Amino acid sequence: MGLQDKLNAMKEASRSKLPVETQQVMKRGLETLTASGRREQALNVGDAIPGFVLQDGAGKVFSSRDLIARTPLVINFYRGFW
Amino acid sequence: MLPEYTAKICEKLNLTFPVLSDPGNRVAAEFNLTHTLPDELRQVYLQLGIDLVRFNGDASWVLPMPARYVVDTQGLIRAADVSIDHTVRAEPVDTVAALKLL
Repeated sequence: MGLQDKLNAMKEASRSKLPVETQQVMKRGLETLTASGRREQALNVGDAIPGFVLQDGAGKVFSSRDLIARTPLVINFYRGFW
Repeated sequence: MLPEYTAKICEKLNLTFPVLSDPGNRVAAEFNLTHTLPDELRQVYLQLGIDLVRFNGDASWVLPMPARYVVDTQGLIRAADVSIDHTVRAEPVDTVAALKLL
């Protein structure tokens, strides 16, 4: 079972418990974001990433330039644990 | 999310890779991934216990579209998956395949 299958199952389980009005609000949110064209503005294949320096939860510092000097990177942007 | 929350995720899931905090979604904005939740959606999130003001430490209600990038040693993006629908994500096997092509 791929990741998306698991995500679809989770979504099915949680969404069906939500009031119809709430589901509508979420649907409208997705439609608004789609219509905004923001997705097409995101960095894409062939673009150079901006350099960044960020910290983990323990305060350790990570520099993208230092990291890519040694190895390719997988960068995941995620919204939160919730 | 604020560092205190990213630290929790690492512990809880026993992650072996770094989970970084992006205060103010500054880096996400440089990747053009950010968007602002409309009012009615903020209310829904609050009802669900998702208080972004608390988790992100600011009142902007800005979030990044979930995205996964494979970046080579020149800093160029070689694979990109941006999720306009946060319930849809790239398959990890595809990410591994993209890495193997480098």
